[in-house]
Amino acid sequence: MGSSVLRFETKRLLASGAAGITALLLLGLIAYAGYVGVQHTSEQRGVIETYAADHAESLDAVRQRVAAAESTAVANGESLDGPVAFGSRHPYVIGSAQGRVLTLEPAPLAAFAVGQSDLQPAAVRVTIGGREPMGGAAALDHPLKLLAGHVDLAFVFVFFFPLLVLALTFGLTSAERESGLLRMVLSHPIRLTTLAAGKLTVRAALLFGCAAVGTGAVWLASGAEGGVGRWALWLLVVVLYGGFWLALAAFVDSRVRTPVTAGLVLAACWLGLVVVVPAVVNVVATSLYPVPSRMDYVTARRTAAGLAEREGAASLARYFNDHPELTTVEEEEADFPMLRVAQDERIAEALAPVEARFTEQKAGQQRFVRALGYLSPAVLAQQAFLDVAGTGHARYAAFDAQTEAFHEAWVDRFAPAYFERQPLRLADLDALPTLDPQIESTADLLSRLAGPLAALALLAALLGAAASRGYGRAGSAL
Amino acid sequence: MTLTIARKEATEMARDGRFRWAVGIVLVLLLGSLVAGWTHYASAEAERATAQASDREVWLGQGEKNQHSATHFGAYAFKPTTPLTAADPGVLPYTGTSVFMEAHSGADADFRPAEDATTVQRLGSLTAASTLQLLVPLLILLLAFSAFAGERDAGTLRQLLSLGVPRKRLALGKALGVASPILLLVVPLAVVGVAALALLDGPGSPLATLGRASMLVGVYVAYFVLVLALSLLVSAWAGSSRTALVTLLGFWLVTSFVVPRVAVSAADALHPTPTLTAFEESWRAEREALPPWPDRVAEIEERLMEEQGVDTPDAITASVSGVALYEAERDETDLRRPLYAALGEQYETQTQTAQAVSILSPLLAVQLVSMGLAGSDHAHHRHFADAAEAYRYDYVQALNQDMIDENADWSFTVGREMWEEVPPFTYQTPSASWAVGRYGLSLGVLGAWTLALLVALPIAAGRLRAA
Repeated sequence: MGSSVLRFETKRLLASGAAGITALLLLGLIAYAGYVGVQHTSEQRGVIETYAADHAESLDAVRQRVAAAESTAVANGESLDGPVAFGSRHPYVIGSAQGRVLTLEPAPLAAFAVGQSDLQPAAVRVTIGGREPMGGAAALDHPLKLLAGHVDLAFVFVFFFPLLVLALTFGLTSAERESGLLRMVLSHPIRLTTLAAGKLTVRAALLFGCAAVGTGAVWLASGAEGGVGRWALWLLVVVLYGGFWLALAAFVDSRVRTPVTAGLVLAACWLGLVVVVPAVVNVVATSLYPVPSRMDYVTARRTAAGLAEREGAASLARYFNDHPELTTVEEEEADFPMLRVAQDERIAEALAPVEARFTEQKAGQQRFVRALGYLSPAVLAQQAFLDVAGTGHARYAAFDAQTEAFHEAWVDRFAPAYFERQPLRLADLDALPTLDPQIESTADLLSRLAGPLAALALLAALLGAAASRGYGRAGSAL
Repeated sequence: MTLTIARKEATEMARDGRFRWAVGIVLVLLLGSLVAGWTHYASAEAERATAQASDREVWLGQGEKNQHSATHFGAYAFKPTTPLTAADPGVLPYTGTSVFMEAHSGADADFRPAEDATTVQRLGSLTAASTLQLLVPLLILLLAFSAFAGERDAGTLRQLLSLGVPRKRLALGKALGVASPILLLVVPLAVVGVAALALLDGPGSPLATLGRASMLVGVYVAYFVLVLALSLLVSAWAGSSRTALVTLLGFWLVTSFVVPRVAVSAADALHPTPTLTAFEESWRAEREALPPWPDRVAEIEERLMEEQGVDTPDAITASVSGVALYEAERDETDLRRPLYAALGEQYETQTQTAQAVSILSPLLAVQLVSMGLAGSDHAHHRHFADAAEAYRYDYVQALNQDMIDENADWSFTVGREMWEEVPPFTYQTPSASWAVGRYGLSLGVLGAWTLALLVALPIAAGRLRAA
């Protein structure tokens, strides 16, 4: 009986034209969103390549200057390993002036969700003095565009996909109940639950089929290398999130008498879960966990910098106290790079509590949003989509932690060289510390997303079970 | 008779439990968003004032140093906001909050609050503006969609018309009936809000804020009237209340979530802003036109030797460094400002394009005007950044000029007296008329929509059919 229902419902849906319109609309939206995402990712890659090329060019210029300076030193009969004065062969030219540019390559599915990539840095320049973020392709975008957001695949699936699900399912059986057709259909040996399940299955197959075909085409068009696992994970999120809305539509349909009432109830659910709850979660999170003001940060930095500058000698003495392994240099012997390193460390020490408070509050806000996200499937789905696309909080937080660790390694590599006046050798330029930010494996990602995905699955299952009971009772009543 | 119809409509709504729930939810969200917005504004404004004062103290206490070293020590300008941004923060989260003003560098704003926010922010934030722009119109159309269509479905419209009730009066009565509960919701809040603003201190004169607030209330009331007229028009035209509801919800959805995004994307596609790397490349190319530092110094030495009739640079009785720094700053600024101005114009063109597209969505027009009046749009941000840039240039050149006046070289130092001569950075928010002037197109769109609907509604009501 189940297969007859499926065949019958497929024919009905195709004949009604609703299937065609829905499929066209969904595929059209996916195509447009895919174009937006591919365009943005391609611009982002262009910017990153420019940063990498500029950095390589600057390193090459340094290499040439060092080579020329070494030739001059050899010609003058000087030792290439002896103490070096401030100049072309001083490690400062790399450690502080040039630094290391670390880029964050777009993840394989980056074209699926612009996410935070229009706000977060595409690269970071690390010097002894600190980390300088370098903006991505959208760094100069009109703030209105950032406020409105992009019509990318994440937006299409979080906002529009539920509407298409609801448009196709809101009168699943209530329309037939209202017209009296349902009584006639149920005069055959078929249960209302089976009929509704058949209708839902056909609609789900249409929607998920379009989603798979459309996103697969976008993935291929994006020219990304790898990412099959992530694409499968994206589809899993689509199925679970779409499954929730299908189950909700069935649940409402099983309990109301007219399609208009079902439509109104489902529209209110969409409004509440997709628009209102996320907005409330956002405002509650920012109110309960306000991130310390950047203005305080600026003020603290200025005060610390002023103090370190005024107390140059004290900063240096303190630096040697903290680094007994380094050769102590008297203040009058200290050159600009040495003073700079000592002052930078003093500033970093003064800022450490401010930064710790900042990081703590940001992490608290993020944890709070993750927890409150369970109030809305839209928040769960949005965060999962961004994580799968590699444009969410997790990837940027990981990159931030990696560059911070790299900064420490960079300071450890160069600061001693300043005090020991070690010359920069050509071979050193080929052995500079580097960082290749690895993207999280699909398995790790899946295990991190297990909670939200399980919650979506559980919600869908509970609503489905409740709908099944509702149909059972309604079928008996007919 | 009109009032009787209005009273009947309002009474029916007041008795409807769903209506009471809907109004209650909207009211709670509106009040909640206002409280959260105000708390955020008050703490941000206090932090700004403290930070600006602290920065001045840091500047004054920077110790003895060369004048030009002080221009690199620099100063910060922290962006003030108007109290109205508590209701409509607009693009504030996406624009920088502070500008570091130093020599040889444009006054770019740093630290966009959105960079520190969670990803859920991109799903939308609850503000008084978003509640007024999305939820109140939705409430209006849910109240009004069945005004005629519902009566037609139930067969009571035929009854009403057979009694000889004039169609236009019926429409007016229905409109007043739906409007009165909405007015009861919005007017007290608006009056309290405007009165609170009148009693407040904030950047700009309280009177200017009051003027902006009053205009803001006017814009929102006009938009609600527009939505009400549209809902009644659709209800009069639609064959059934189901058709009316679907049409109005579709309109709300498209104008709220689709058109604003597509409009700004279209504006960006038609008038693209450069990428950061392209912009920096343009600046590098411009800067290459300037003489390298040694050449500039040599040219100035030549000039001064000729002016003073001496033969060697050592005999010059003027600060060559001071003159070189002054002229370098002037030349760099002359090249940099047009680049930034062109970028700013591109943003302005994008805003104008979005305003033109708002013909498809009066809500977009309201959103643009609202953030303009609240002072949370990009134009206000640019106004602030321009003021910071003007201050930067003036103080940097004043210190470079002091080097010239004092015939100072790099080892010459000055102290607190000199730093006190540099006035603190102050900023005056532009007038309400300046803000409104930038959104003429949006106001025109809003006016045209309202006018067209107010003309069309009596016509549609006059042709009202019972079936």
